Amino acid sequence: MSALLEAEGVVAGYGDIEIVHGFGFAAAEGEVTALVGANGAGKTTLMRALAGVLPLAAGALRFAGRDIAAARAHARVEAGIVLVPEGRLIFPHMSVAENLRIGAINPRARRDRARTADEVYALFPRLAERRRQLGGTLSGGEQQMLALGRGLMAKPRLLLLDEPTLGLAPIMAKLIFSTIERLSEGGLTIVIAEQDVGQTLGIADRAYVIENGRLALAGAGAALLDDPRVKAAYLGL
Amino acid sequence: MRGALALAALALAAAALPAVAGDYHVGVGLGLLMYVALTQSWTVLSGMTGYVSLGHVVFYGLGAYVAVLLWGEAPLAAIVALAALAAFAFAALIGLPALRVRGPYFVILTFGLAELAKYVVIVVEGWLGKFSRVIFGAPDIETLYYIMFGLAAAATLMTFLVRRSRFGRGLLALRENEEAAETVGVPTVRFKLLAYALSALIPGAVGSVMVLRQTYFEPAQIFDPVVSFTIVTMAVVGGSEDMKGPLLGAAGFVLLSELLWANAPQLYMVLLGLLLIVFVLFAPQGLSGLLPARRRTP
Repeated sequence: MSALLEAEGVVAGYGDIEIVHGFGFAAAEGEVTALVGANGAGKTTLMRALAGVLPLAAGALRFAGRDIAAARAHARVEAGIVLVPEGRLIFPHMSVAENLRIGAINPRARRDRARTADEVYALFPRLAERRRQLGGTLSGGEQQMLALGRGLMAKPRLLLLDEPTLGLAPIMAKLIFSTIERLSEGGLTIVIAEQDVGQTLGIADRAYVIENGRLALAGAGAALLDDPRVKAAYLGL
Repeated sequence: MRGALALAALALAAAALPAVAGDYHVGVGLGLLMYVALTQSWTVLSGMTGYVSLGHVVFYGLGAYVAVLLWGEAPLAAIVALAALAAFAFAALIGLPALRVRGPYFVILTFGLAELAKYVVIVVEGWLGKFSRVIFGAPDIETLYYIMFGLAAAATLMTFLVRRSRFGRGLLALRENEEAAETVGVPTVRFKLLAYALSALIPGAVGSVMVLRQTYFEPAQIFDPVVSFTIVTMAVVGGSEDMKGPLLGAAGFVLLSELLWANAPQLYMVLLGLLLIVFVLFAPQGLSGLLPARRRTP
């Protein structure tokens, strides 16, 4: 398996406050790569830097062999890196259908947007039922489906999922996890940052533990699940 | 379809006005078309992106200044076009730093920028030894009226086209949530800058026409903040969610001010202030939002 995304020595933060102090990892093509760690460890900052919403202070970033460290967010979306942000950030005053349509705004995705929308509706029948409803009136779980669907509308090669189950009811979180597995089985490369360490490691091919903005531990998802340090720190066992 | 017919009827009436009305009413019509052009342009930036400009007079003033400097040196059509381009270029230049701030900061910045430009022009005119300029041989009001008619029509068409485009959808997305727009792939920096420059283009041309109408250039009078305030008021009263908002706002406002000036000049500002408050509180979508709307289909 070759790496679709390679990050080396990534440094990122806000103004003078550095949060990620030189983090490196690789996401292999077709795999689910998990970034786990406590709140405040730097997962969201790292995800935003990968998507280009936040500039890199230092470090290297390669996507499909291309250097993308300096590329702006929209150029990365066009290249195929799509972030589903923490807190979902759907467009509350737009309908479900309009939200999805905006997702396909990059030129590469625009041509196929009708067909992609059908695929998203097939994946989340709930969204199809509510396609005319305003995004802001959906439940939390439905909003997460919409955010995920909007991300898929951009036709990603690499999907970055930042806390996709945060604040969701357990049954909804389960649905989101099973959807992620389905997408992965379909061949999509996924990087997921999650606070639900147990479930995340369960679906991850490879996982990286981030602590205070630095790499603490890396390994296969299943192996980390059995690692005593992970058990003690994140699973409360 | 009904909307298109109404628009065509309005355009026809506006085009026929100089043939049937005297100079006074053509003057009122010119003022109305001017505000249609200015308010439509303003909505391309402020209506669509939520970046509210309280200094749009700067583009109007700049266009007027370009016209005064070039009058007698270049043909009328070239002057109007250059005034528009100057405003466009100026907006593109200042937009990059200005659009980095949002919300109330952007509002204050645009207001301050217009005031700054006014005083810079005053200083420059002082160096040149000119404190006001009189324009000789300006075109007659009918000519200016028809140019303004073209500008108002162009601005209306522009807002219509922008709303239907990928560009327009990107602007609406960034108004809702700029970071989300960025993550879905909207080139936010480029789109905002283009919206700002487009919103300045026609106001520059409008300024050049109006200074020729006034045949007199005095910076403090041309860079009048009341022009900026009036644009915002019209957009609030008329609505800025579609192209009929600015038409309704400008028409309602100009008619009302004609009536008030004639009948109760001392109440003019009081009533306008009240009107603005009523609309902000009870009809935030403006007159256009009060009309029975065709259901938008996604």
